[in-house]
Amino acid sequence: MRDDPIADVLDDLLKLDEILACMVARRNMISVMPSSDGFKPEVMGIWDIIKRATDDVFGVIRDYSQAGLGEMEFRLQDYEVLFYVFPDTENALVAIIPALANKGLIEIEMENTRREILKIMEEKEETVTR
Amino acid sequence: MIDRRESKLEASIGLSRKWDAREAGREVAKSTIKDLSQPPSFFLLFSTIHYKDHGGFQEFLDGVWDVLPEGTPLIGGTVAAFINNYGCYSRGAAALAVSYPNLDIAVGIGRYSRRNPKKAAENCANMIKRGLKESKYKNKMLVNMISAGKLPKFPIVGRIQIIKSKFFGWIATYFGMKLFPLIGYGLGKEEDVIDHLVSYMSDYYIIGGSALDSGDMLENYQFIGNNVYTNSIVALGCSVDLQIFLRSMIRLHETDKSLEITSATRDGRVIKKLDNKPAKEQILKALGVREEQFKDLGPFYYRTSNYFPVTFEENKKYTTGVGGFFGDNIYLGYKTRGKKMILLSITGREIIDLIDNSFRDLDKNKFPFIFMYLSFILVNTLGARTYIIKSKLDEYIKEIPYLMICPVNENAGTPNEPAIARVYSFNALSLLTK
Repeated sequence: MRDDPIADVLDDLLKLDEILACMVARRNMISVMPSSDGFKPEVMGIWDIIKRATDDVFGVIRDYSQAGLGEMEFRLQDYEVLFYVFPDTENALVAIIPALANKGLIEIEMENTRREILKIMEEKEETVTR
Repeated sequence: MIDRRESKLEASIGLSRKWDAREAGREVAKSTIKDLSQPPSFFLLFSTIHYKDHGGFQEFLDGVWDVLPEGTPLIGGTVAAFINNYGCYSRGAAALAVSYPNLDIAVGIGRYSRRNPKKAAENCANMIKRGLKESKYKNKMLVNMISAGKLPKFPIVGRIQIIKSKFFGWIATYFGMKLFPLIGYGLGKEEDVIDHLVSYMSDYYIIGGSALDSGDMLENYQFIGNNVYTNSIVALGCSVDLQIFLRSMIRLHETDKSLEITSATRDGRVIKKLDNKPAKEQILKALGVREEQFKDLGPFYYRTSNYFPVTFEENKKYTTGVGGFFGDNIYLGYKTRGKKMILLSITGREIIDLIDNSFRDLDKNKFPFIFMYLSFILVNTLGARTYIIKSKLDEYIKEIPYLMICPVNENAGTPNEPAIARVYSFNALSLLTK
């Protein structure tokens, strides 16, 4: 995982103060996590409930990603969980942020992260095809 | 990079996404000037607040000067986000460099802009006018960055944007508004800075905005040369033999909600009564927020109300927004400009229309670069959809180096239409090479 370029991109995103946790995941499975410090401590207290809710959301993503579902989010206690779906897959970039964060600015960097990860995925696919 | 051979004007945009302040400074400077065949005539530098905790802004500027030719006129500041030819970012650094022989440049600074906006504007204007006194070029422009309002933050209490207690609200209205500027906090008073600046520099095309952090309004920085300041206005004045292009637009629509300002204080920045009733009660009613909701979710509704800008029946070109609550009083970002306050709104479509309306009729071959200010609140509203703005810009000006920065308040004007400071606007500047 340490040499995974996607993990490096997630490391970058996690450096933002308001990103408390981020990952590339699908239902019941975290595909890639940041390689560095891990999640910020404040989110660990409610991680179990967030994880369960997140898995339920992935059920919806699985059912509708082929239909063009691009983003989802929910608010749980003092946190919001954002899902940026990778087109035509059941995978999403997931981030947990404080509920009262300046979400618009965070979303810009989430979108940049999604684009970077997509690029890496496409490059990987090209390499495999060759 | 674009090179208008016939005019010898070159412009280039740079970017850094590095986290380390020194490295980011070096990279943004290097990427900006690498394609210029001549040293830059001036350098406009912007970054998000993040470098404060990753080496600091002095280190960031030192990195820039590791690369930038000594003596290059430089100003800039912290912004919430920026869009350029490379993408949309709410973290990183960006710059615009212009190289052209037929122009003269001077930079200016006015310190303590919230404590004494008139003096700050005067000092800044004098430095620039002195610097350009001998210039033979008749067209003049000025790019500025002003320190935006800064919320005081105290231990336990936290940041002060909403004071629910009537007693402490009264204290804040009558003492806090006077005391906070003395310690570098409080409203930015950019409208006063600009009004005074215009009185000294009425023959200038003026464009600028207010430096901020990531929207928390706790801190901001201005750059000039190799120095980092706060609570200041920094500006770059330029006289040039080319025509100056400046476009200023606003695309808010009026709601059917209006309120009569019946009692105000502090130069009209604090409104005590609307329609002869406590201002807080009236504004929450107009916004559809119940008192108990406000009590429970103060910060949330503060943010919501921030998206309800206001104008004045008597002066509709001015806009401001509800900055916060002091007990029963509300304070505005800028002073009132009339007795009848009209609540405004903006849709995502209208934000996108700003770009269409600004660029649809332009002959892009005339523009060697385009430098823009767009309210950060609009970008924060669009979120990931900010990329629609980028797509629109690419539709019109993809081949031109462009940089759009996102401050919290904007100012713009021409010798014919004097500059004003307002919110939620879009402003664009360039030089015409044909």
